[in-house]
Amino acid sequence: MRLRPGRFVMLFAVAALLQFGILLAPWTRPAIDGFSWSLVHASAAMINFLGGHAHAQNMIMRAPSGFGIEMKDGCNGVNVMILLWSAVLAFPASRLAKMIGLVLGGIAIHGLNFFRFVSLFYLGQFSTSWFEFAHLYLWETLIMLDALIFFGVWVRRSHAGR
Amino acid sequence: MLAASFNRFFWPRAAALQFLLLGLWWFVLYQPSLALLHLTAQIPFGLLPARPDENSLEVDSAGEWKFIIPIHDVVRDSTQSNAPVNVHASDFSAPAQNVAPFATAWFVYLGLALNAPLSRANLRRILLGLAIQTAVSSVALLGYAEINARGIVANMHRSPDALSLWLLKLAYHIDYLVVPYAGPFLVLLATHPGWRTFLTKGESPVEPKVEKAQSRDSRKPRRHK
Repeated sequence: MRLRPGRFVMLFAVAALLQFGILLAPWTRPAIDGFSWSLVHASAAMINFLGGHAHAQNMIMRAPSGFGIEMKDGCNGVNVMILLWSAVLAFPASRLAKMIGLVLGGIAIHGLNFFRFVSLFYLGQFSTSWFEFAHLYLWETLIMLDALIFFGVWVRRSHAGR
Repeated sequence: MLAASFNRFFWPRAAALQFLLLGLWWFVLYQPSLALLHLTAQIPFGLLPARPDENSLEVDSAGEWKFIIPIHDVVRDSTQSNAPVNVHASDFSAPAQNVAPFATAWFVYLGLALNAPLSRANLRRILLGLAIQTAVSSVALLGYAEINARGIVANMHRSPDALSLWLLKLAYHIDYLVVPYAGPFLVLLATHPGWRTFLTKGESPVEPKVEKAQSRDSRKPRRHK
């Protein structure tokens, strides 16, 4: 299987468009909200387990000081996961390699996003300006970079495994 | 040796450059980058069929971005009137922080592109990438304005069309939540073959140069003492 750039770009665009379409369909809303909800509650549980103090209330995680952060669309890592999945699906590799790429890629994105959410919770209590910078720009880029690193490693492994 | 050390620190350097460039943008170049975005966006916005006395995009003294988007539509079931409403344009304003994501892309791109050995050829690619990124950001800003304007008109209907609303939502999601963040990465991969090679084969962008030098050496006649 050889990589044909034109075919890859077209498949990538189609896969991304389809997945974003599904993401925004009304019938997937409960699943997305449920995922965001579980991320907020898991983050609060982790903080409390490690000795910190956080309280999860629906999609908001609050500190005892009253500071709270809300998990919204675009913050739950799903956008980057869709882009990574589109790249994995569009790349010429075996079905098994693609399955591995989808599962491990999802874990790589959401693992880092989990850390991002917890770090933003603490950063927001320290400085609003730094919080905005990290939340809207820095972390977004670092998660994209994470996806790119994962994709690179996966491409090389899936080639080496052949 | 050079290539090996380059490879080893490729990703940490890429992350560090993002810290550096985005920090520079946020703390120093935030306002100038918005001014540049305003300037470059005049080109796509200038293509809109606006009235001669109107500018489709303006920034007021308070830094608020004002959009006037021409839309020719008739709303027959308006929430505001029992008679059909003719719509010629939709205008709305947005605070600077709402359009800032379109200005950040230059710095994300630069942070990525500078993570390769600087050569004349690479410099040319960086400039080409910056030009493409400028076009992408300006057109994405136009898309943001168009989608918002059409969203305003779509919501004027007493019973908005569900499919139109979903399409607008999808377009907004891609234009505002995906393009500003993923755009620089895609532009980079399109313009820098060195990055593509490193990503797919793990070969450093400096490696071919080293190989070339070695092969040139091997062609030289060896003197035996």
